[in-house]
Amino acid sequence: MSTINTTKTNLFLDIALFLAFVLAMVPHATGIPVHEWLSLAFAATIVVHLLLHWEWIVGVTPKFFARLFHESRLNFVIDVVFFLALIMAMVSGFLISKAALPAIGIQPAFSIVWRQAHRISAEVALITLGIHCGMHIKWIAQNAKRTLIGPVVRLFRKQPVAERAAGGKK
Amino acid sequence: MKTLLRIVAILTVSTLLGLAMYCIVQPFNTNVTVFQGMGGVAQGTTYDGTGNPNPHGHLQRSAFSMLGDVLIKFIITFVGVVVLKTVIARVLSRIMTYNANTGNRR
Repeated sequence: MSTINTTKTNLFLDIALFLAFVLAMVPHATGIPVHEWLSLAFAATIVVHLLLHWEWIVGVTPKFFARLFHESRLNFVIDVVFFLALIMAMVSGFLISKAALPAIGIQPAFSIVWRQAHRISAEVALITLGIHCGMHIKWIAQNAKRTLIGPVVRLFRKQPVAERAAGGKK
Repeated sequence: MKTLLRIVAILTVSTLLGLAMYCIVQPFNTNVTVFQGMGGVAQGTTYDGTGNPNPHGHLQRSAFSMLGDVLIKFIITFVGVVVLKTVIARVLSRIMTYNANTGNRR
């Protein structure tokens, strides 16, 4: 029961993270204040995501330098690159902030270097997110089918059976 | 308590990495004064503050078009990885089950 709930929590949290990330990637569409506050919320949710996968992180890190080829090693490298890109995006984002930092009285100066760093790190994060999701396709497909598609299909399947039972009684 | 320690660990590692990145990139941040001198900083007219009303053509594009760009990049990477992973898994499975003596698959 607990496993199912953890899986469900992971799935819904990951969907929320994905949607937040995609929205945060289009600051021209959402506006800078939404982009900045959403990114901060995204960063906080990433911490929760890491907490939920803590056992995996702790388990894989010491085995990383072991002499064996395993998918988890590749996953670890991709996740590290993704994490570094997100940190760079956050740091550069703070340094070119136009809404979040000015809201607490700090006015960062405009910098083309930090803006380029922000853009490049966001692109790297987007690509590594694609790889990260692609590497976990099995888990995503399995749990999306069980948690999201399954209940909807069951909802449509149950109706004719109930109608048949009601018809039979008459 | 355990969760709190883990949160502290994540935040500490993130902060240290962030500081390291700041120390690496900040020395290259030399052209700020040039832009400030041009008077195009934080004027609110453009996104990049260069003074050009439409430097990259962003202002003429719709929100859906920009969202589409992001989704296309994501989907290409995602599908590429899934295809590559499937192909590698099949090739590896063929190699693993290949019998060198008979030339057949086991």
